[in-house]
Amino acid sequence: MIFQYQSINRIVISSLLLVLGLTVSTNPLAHNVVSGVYADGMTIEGEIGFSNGVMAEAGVVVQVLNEAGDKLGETVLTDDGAFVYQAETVQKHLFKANLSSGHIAEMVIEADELSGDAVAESNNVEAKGEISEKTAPQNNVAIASAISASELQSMIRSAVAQQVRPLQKELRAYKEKVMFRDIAGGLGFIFGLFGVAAWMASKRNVKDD
Amino acid sequence: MHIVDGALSDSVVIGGAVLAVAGIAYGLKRMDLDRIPQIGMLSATFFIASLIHVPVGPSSLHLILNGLIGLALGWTAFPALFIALLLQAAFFGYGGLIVLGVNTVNIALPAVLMGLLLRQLIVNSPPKRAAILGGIAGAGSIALTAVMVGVSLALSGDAFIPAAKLALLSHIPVLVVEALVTAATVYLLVRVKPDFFSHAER
Repeated sequence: MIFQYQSINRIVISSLLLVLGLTVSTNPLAHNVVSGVYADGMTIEGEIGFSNGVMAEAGVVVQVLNEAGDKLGETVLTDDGAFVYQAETVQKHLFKANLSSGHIAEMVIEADELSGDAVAESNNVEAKGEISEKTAPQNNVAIASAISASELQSMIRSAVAQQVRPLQKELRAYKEKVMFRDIAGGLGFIFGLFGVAAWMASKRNVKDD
Repeated sequence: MHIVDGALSDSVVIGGAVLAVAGIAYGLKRMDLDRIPQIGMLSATFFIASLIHVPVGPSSLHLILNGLIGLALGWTAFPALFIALLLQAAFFGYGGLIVLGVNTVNIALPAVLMGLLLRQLIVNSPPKRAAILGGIAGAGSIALTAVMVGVSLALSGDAFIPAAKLALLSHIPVLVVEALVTAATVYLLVRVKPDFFSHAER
């Protein structure tokens, strides 16, 4: 019986090592691509670099696609790995850049992250629409007083929401990563604890003999 | 299934802890060298199974597998499940640390009971009947666990009785899935490794 379990153990350990090896080797040999993209009104800014801190080369073409995969346009990276794209419509934007040698950067801007004055009324940023309607017939002096406290509040709320959104996304991605680490850590603990139990039991067996 | 801190009265928490310690101690006493890898593997399986959530209707469910663990491990299910629950609470906040004893008893005791009741029958049965018995063990342990969760909540105060009823009802889909998974696993084990359950406890 002991021998049988030992052989099962060996199979389990070798398969675990294999899985471990596979997960490690699927990581790119060089550095991971890191990229970020942010919307400010209808202007989309982004940057692409590598996990070692080096930014992507200037001149790399960034393809801009819509959700269906149709090409909306393209833009080119500047010196510091940054790019700017002026969105024309409020919709989901996908950005793809091929950095060669197997590095591909992909970024997404959701439709609700974009807001232009032209589409403010149709978008959920109601505050902006209301203010522009109200302030239009009045002179400059009146503008300040035309923005009531509640309007100001809702403006601030939507502005903050806009700014916080990329952070939320990053946090979500980070949580996922941590979750995976916790699972691996938990499994490690379990195998370790039962390893100690096996070691203690084997010592006890030796003493009995 | 995992009760959180603050939901139970002190007496229930203490009673659960005492029962859990007794169960773990007895389980550890019955743990011998040959079976430690198996216990570890099933502990890890339970740890992982609770993390895989399958959306069903408005809520989601995850496998608990305490029926299978009970059939395979008998009394040693107590230490195996305790360690997995401890790590789940520490890493993911599933269930509280203070109510760990109650959670251990609620999940491990039905497992042990199903193991004691059905394992010998499974050993003596042809694969198909063994699979049906496995399904009964899977469903039975979930039903018992749900009842025990309900009882733990009900013992802690009248206000929890509706919640306890809800715990029972909400576990019906888990019960069905668990029965199918346990039946399939037992069928496979009996076919592939006929001595798996007969070696489970000596």
